[in-house]
Amino acid sequence: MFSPLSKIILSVWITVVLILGFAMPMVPVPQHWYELPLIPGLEEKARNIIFHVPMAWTTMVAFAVSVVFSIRYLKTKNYVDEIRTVAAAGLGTMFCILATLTGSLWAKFNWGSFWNWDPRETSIFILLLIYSAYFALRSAIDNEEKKATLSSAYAIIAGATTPFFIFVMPRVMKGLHPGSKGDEMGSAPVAQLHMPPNMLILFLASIFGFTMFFYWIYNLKVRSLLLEHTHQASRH
Amino acid sequence: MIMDFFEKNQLYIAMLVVLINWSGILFYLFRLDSKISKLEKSMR
Repeated sequence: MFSPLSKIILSVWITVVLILGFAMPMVPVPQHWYELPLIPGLEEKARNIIFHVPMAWTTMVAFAVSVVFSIRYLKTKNYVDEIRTVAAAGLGTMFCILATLTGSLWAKFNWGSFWNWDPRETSIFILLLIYSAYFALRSAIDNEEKKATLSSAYAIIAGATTPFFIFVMPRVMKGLHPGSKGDEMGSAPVAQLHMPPNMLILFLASIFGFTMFFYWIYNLKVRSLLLEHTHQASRH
Repeated sequence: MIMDFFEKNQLYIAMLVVLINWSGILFYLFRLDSKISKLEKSMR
């Protein structure tokens, strides 16, 4: 788990990433380590790479965690694994919604409208539907063990579709999002990690920071669900 | 009008993105907090 010191380090880490993400000046030809390149067409909006992409990344991590624990639950039938699956799927959905909202806002200013049914937008929308169905399924079954088994099986299938919707579908189809098929130019700094070293370090620091932040909140959620479970078990 | 402002001051778009992220995470934490409070009440 997290020690108090690591929580402080993580908080400072995220704060520094947020400050640098705003404060590093963007110039046409960077001369110093603290200057970011001004990408034509993106301009200051390029800073969103540091704030929007980690949301999608954390979604992916959270859904991967839910798959691991749902497989473990089906093997062991241990309720702790079930609780870990639910917590990861819930947080993954939250980060997925954030990736969608921030992406939609960015789309308004780069693609002209909040929603364009670009392959990337369509795939994340389907992913949201898939995970909404997971929670609908859970709320529809009363029997606890049946609920856990069925929803774990569903979580594995749902998780298996995630890499397809996040990595494959938006890349094999033509679209507006960087990294789409036919997007040969350097407008894909994230898809191909084509960015100057200082921006790359900041980007990776943001990815790492938000992943750890996810892990922290995830731990809180798991602990509260475990408490709830113990409390309910003691009442029966 | 407001769109023109954002077109001219694009740094604020990045700020809005961070605000969306932040409000989402805070919303989740507030819900978690209230769930734990309810749990504590029922445990007493």
